[in-house]
Amino acid sequence: MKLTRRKQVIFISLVVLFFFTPFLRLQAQISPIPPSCSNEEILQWADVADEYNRVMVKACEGMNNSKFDSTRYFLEKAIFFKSWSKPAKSKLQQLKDYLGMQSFRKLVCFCDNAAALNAAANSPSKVPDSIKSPEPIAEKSETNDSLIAPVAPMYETEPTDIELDEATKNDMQQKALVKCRQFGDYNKTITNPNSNQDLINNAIESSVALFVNEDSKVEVSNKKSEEAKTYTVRKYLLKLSALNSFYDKIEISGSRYYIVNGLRKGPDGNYYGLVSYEQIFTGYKDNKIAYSDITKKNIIVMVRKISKMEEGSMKTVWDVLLKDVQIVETL
Amino acid sequence: MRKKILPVFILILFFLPGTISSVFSQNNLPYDDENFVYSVKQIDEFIERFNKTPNSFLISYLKSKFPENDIDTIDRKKFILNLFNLRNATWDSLRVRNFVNHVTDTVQPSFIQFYDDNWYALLKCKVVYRKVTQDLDLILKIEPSRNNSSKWVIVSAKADFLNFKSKYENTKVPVPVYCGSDLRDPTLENKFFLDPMAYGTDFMCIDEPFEHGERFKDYLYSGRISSQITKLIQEIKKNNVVFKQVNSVSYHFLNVPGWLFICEYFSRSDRNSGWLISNLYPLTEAQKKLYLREYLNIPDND
Repeated sequence: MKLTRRKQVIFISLVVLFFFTPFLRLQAQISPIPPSCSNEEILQWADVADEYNRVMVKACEGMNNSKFDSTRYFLEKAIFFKSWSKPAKSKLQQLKDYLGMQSFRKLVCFCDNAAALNAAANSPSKVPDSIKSPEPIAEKSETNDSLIAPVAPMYETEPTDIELDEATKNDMQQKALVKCRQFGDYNKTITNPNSNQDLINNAIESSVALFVNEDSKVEVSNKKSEEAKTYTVRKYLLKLSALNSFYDKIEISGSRYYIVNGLRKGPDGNYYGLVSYEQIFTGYKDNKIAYSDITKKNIIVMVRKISKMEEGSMKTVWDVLLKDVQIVETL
Repeated sequence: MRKKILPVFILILFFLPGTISSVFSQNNLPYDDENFVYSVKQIDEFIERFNKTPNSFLISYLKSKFPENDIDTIDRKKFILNLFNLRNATWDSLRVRNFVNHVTDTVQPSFIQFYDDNWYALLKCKVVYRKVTQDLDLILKIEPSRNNSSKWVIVSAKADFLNFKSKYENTKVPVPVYCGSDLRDPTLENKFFLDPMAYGTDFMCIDEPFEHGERFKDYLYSGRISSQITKLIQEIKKNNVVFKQVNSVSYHFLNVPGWLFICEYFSRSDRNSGWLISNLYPLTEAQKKLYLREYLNIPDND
């Protein structure tokens, strides 16, 4: 069989594409540009498709927002990232190579400082002057455990006499509303059938970062069923993400929020608030409503004091985190 | 026999003039965004409406929705009447009217506050006791704590497996013997506690005291405890009790002189929904003590 010249060209092109596409994809996977942890750059990387880079962006975000829990979590995740292909090289070294010296040092120093702060917070006589200046990374051991050792967060845990004034309480209540709305928005992204896996993963991580920690609970109960189910926040979100394959289209609406007036102080010195809102969930299949319910969400928020390094000095700021969520399917 | 007179909605119609009744009127649409506004979403909102607190969620909404009406002049009675479960057709309207008139008395009105001493949350829970699913009632209250803080504390417990039998249930089992006092470790007060907003999620964190078996006593209140609590502590220590879930919550208000009322959550697509009064009883102070002891299993602390 004799091929025309035009067909020969097409055939050769297809062969080239067939052999080289996986190689190009592999190249794209192993050589993304690592984040430098600057705020400007993180904004550009917000919708990054690469999973590893996304984890590092979250670590950098945590560092820039002084969220030790979050930073440490994502760093650990990066260190134990499954796709590292060279077992001979330590995972920590690979992380260092990937990030580059400057970003790696910034992250390590943040974790070290947070650990030192925590130690200082636990011994009242010790002021946080133990905060280290950035050390050359070469002096650090390859198996530096400060990144992976179970270190308590930098949040102060001792009860405090500090009373929030009304203006700060109002600010914190507004911030609590914003965070609850964010949680609702991430839920929308997670259940949206048009969201790709990276977007869903990103929304899950961002949702988890809104909470006090990974142990925060979500309780789901249904009018029809007597049994309420309780999940950790991540498990709940993963379960939620499975919904988007069931429907062609999902609509989540409802915009009224009720926040209990005033925050109440707990014996741990943290303040607690309460936000309630309703959402209507509608799932479509073949352009017809396949499922619809109204859920009431009650969220306890925790307002806690954190110490933050700003311009070389320690500053105390209040931050809002979500604590527990109760979801009641009402109709 | 209890006298059952006209349903309370007739009373409501009597009290509500045209414009305002439209404000509270019901809506039969499958979902109405405004149902959320009128629904009593949290017990705080119940307290706000009971007291007709200025700038509460509903009043702010009404002011923005009906700028032409002077919302501040709406009678407090109307707010209180809308806190009753209007679907209950067996209300004794005379009793309801007496109650409303009593709390809105112009000379000596009654108000309730979140930090009042004499109101309790009754949690109907499910536990597994020695591998058998059992009902357990826990009675909680809000208690002031260090540095102007507060927390929910366990006051008492009731369950068949704790050998509790109320006189109200017509048994011959003797009234429980009360014993003990403050068993808590003050140094751990900031670690083991139920936060002051725990009621907002129907106390879904109440499993914590059961998980920290040895520390269950740190979640107790500071008053005298019943023998049921002592037995519960022992059983939890022996790992014989596994907490499953809270089935329902009701609030028992004994802080209005001469009255007891119970609030329960009514989940429905209706403006008369959320935390509403389900029961109302005129009680003397002596009867209240009896109610606390016999029904809520709370010892006298006098």
